[in-house]
Amino acid sequence: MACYVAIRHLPGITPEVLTGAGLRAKSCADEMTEEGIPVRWLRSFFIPETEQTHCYFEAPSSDAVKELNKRANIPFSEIHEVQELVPEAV
Amino acid sequence: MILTYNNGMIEDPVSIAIRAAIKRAKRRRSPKVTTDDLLVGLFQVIARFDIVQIGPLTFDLEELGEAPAVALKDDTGKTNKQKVAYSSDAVALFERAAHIARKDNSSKVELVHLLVAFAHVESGLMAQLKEKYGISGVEWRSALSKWQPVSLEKAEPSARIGAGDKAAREFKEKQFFSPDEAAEFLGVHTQTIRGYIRTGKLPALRLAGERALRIQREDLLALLEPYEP
Repeated sequence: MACYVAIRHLPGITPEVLTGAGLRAKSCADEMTEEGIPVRWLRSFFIPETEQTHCYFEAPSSDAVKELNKRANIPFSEIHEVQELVPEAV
Repeated sequence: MILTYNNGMIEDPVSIAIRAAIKRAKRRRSPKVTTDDLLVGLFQVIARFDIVQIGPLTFDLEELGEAPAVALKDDTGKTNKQKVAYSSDAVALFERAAHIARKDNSSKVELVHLLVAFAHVESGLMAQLKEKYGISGVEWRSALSKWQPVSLEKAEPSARIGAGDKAAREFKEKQFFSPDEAAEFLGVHTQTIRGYIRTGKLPALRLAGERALRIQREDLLALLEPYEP
């Protein structure tokens, strides 16, 4: 399964907004998986200095990630496929 | 209480409630998951026998016209693939719940935080409930401040069973009961016991020179008679 990042620019974001978005993303991922589109929210990183959030998903396509974010009502500016690199693999 | 398995894992009650809300939106054939869907989803998770009990507040899910059980798959058994997205009101509710959880020093948003977030909702089902049962936002929060979800009680069965065993053992050996103990022994309210004593239905003894009352085991057992329908 491919890995994708959704990049969001959310100025003035609060931890509450992030938590709420996380709950919504999780439930939508479960719902889509049940519908036959296996999407998984892996993790997110918030960069306070740039007010950007990078959210990583495992999904069959970027459209699936887009669909999840639309359902969860979380705005995003870009979605890209990413190549994962972990220390154990190098 | 509904428990469901997702990839072999028992889902937490919050996830189940939110998923139930999505299912309700799908059943309504609505493209949006609203705050009403979320409230019903929460109620369906905490209900027992279709009754929602939050402190002194009691709601009947059937009376609210809600499906008593949550079918995580739709009626036909096939997964409903209709796309539903969260409404902006629902988004705001999640954020309020997260804020309440933070103030409550909780690292996670729990059922109670989502329920408390409804205190300020003045539309839809919550508004109907407030009007029908005459509940204010303060009363709602007050009821929830003392509320223990059923799932939490079930989470510590050992402690509860242990405590019950101890009481049962103590009662077994007991000959004289205080009104409070007698009430617990028979599973009735203390006032009921005191009422029986006042009306002479239940004989009681007074400790010499004291106000304290004691009831004999035989007299408590004599109160019980076979039920003949």
